[in-house]
Amino acid sequence: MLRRENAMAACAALLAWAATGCSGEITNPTRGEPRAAAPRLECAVSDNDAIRLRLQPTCGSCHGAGTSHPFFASLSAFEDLLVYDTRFVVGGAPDDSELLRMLEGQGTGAYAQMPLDGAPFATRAERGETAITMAELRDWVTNLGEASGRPAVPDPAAASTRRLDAGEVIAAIQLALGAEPTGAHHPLLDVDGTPPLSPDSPTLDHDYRNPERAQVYAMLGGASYLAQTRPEERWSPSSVTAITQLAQGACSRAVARNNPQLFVEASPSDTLPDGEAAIRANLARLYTRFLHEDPTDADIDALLNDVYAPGEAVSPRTGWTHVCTALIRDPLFLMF
Amino acid sequence: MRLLQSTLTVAVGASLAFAVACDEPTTPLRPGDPDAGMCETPETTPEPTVEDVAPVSHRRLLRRVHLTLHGRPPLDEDVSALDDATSDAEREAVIEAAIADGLESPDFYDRMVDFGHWWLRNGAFVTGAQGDAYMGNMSAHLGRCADDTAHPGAYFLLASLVDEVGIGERTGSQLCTEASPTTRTVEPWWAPGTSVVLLGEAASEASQGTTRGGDPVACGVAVEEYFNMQMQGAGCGCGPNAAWCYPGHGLHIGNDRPGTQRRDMWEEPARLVAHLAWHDRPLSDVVLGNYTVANNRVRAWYLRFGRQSGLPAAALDGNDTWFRPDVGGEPRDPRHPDAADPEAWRELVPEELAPQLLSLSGGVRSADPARTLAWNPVDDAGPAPGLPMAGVLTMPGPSSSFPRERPRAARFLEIFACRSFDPPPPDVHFPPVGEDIATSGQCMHCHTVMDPVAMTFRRWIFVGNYVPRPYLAGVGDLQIPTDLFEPSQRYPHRAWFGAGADRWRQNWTANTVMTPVSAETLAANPATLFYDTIPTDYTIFGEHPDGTMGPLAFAKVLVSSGELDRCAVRRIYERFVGRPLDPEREAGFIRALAARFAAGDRQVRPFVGELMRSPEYRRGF
Repeated sequence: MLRRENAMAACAALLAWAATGCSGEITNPTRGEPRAAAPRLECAVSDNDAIRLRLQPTCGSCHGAGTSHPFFASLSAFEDLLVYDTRFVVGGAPDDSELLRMLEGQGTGAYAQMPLDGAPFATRAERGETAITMAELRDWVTNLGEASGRPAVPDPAAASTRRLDAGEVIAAIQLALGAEPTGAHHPLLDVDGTPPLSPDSPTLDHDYRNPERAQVYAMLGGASYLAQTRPEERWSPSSVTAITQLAQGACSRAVARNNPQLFVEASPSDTLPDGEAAIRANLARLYTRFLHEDPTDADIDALLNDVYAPGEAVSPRTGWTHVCTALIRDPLFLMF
Repeated sequence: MRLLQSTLTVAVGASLAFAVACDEPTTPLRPGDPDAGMCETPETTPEPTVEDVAPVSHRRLLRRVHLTLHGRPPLDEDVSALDDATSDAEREAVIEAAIADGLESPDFYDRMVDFGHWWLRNGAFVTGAQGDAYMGNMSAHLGRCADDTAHPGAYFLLASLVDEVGIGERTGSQLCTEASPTTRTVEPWWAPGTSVVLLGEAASEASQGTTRGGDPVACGVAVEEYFNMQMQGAGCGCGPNAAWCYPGHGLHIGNDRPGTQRRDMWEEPARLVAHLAWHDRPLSDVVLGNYTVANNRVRAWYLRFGRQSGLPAAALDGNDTWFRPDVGGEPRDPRHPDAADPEAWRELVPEELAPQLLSLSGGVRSADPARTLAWNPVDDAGPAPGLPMAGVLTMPGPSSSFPRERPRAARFLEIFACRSFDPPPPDVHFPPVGEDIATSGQCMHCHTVMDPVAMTFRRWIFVGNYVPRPYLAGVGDLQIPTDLFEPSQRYPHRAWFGAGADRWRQNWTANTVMTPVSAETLAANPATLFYDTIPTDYTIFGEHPDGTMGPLAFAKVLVSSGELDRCAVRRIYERFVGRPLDPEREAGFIRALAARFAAGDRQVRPFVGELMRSPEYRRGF
């Protein structure tokens, strides 16, 4: 587990570094020292990119990253969303390009002009208020090259996972502990008399504890579409706290009942050091059952020494409850 | 962990290549500097692809498949099947079987219902249905005799305050103890194939009653009373198959528990999404279709909506099959396979029960974009012919949840075109706000897009004095008075002002994008406020609408422009693959997915299967 944490931290650092991209400080070519007051500049890597960077001072604030039309978020966004979309730009035909028409205040679509405020781009360009002239833009469209042919594939660097939603994680806990996933009633999850329940549940009944149960569900990040609240997209401090308490309660109950699925390789009465081999085997069994992944020896060492053994010092039941809880809190359990 | 390390390797490689390209520009390009040069041509290194990333293990993949299609990890027997496989080929076969079986499982239908709620976002059916009691059913409310009475289980008309809160003298429930009240045994709409006993006035089948003033009045139209609804005339009962009545009453049915109509009306849009996926219908039917899915309570809602609008009673009351699940053989949901189950969500062309929701197909199920109706209150006289049905865009649930025209437009643009309506950047200047917020002031940042769509959503309004109820303005007997804005008529027209007449006059300004009607015309004929045909010279998503009345014109543009496809694949991908696509980095991929989706007749099930069989689905940890 430590390896995973270290790797994720390194990944975050790399992504932060890579995100600076080309926007670093300009280096003085003669002395190799940073210019103290130099603005952060970007460098163009292609003709299209040069146009993007020269339009950006006028257009970027409304069409940057995160907007409905993020044309200027990146070169790929500029090319994919604007330059090679024939609704906006028709290569070789500036008069047929809606982009130029809008910049000239002659748009034929929803927007008659760009920018939306008083003077269209062309007027501003005539006043010298823009970083590129209309003539240069027409020339660029006239001589527009072919699309780069970027493959239409998913971004391989995008994180391809998600958290389990509240309903999924409730079902996952039940299955891991050997129970059938049920609708409204979760005996193992009945922690403090308030097992989580979706406020939208199709099994709602007249139960005065429902609001409290719905609150636990909401703390797990669950949605209520009836109330137009969305599911939590990421595990938050609140939902991690809630899942910890829920896992501890459910695991404690399951261990106390000696649920057979939890004790395949060891008995609840096995203790260290005599029972170490059986306990290790049972830890491996539970790791696979909960996380759907084969553990390494280091994973079992960590579970045994860092989780089970301190708990067993109190009682074997405490040790196994700790193991069960740790596995439910593992990212492999909580993520898709 | 193996996968994470692989992912990390890819990220490092990509970042280093980027650094080489931009580390030392030969001539830094300063924005605005026409003489600026370029960076050195980047050293080309093969771009990593999804296939370069080590896939998750078969165990983890099986878990993903089951979470995607069943909402839970695999069962023990599912895991055992994988454990028993002895080669990668056999393991792949187990995965493939899990995908194929899962897509055919009713669990997939349930997942699509959940997807529908997540995607469509309409909340509880409250506006136009609920005050401190539920009146959304537009029906007379029924009480039921206790087991220890002379007529156990029989139904009686509630007597307003008396039965609800104990105020008054005569109670409907007194009938339960009378030895021989008038009775009628009927097969009720809510339980076809069974019979119930109606007592007293409830037993009446009269089609005409008498108002308090002694005037004749048509039965089958309910009026609001305190906490419940009643037939509007003395002598009126529950009608054929008790179709004018609802088995329950306002204080007790105003919740979203299963088995309540309020919940059903919230469910209807998501159920349609799931139905389209389950029956391999084009997902575009969700906005283009003239049909929906409905259990008996939703059907009852549409029937009452039809009568409540003053539409021909004889045909609607004469329909004696609308509540019979085994008639017609319409496709239904997989959770209610019993042919006689009134809970089954089965296809319905609402025009059959609510003629004001126009099918434009002679009542036949259709999502043909050629369906059209040209009508507007400026050029055409008389009452509006109705509103062309356009899937969820004309459904009661979303119309209630998004209760005014502009919020409806904003939500539907977000839902179906993936638009967002963020405030404009603070450093952007706009021309001074004028008469039209779609063309001036900061408001135009959003309203330029929103208002041409919003104009189509203005006809669905809520009218009433206690609990407002839904109507289509200008349709049926809800004609907009010509003297609506005469000061002396404000009190007689108070229901209109309760419905928003002041807001209409203030916000629906003449000669604007949303209300392209002259001030003179609006003053002469307030019905023209409800101009809901997008002019054909408007442009939406780069296309011109075809002049069809109402939201159907917007639906057609959503589909023909490709906006719906591009947005739908993003939402499906996010929900089933597990991450949102980034339109800034993956626009080409989104377009490619949308093209494949459209080429596959927009069928969700095979598209989800394709996504689940892709290398991207196997990436993660």
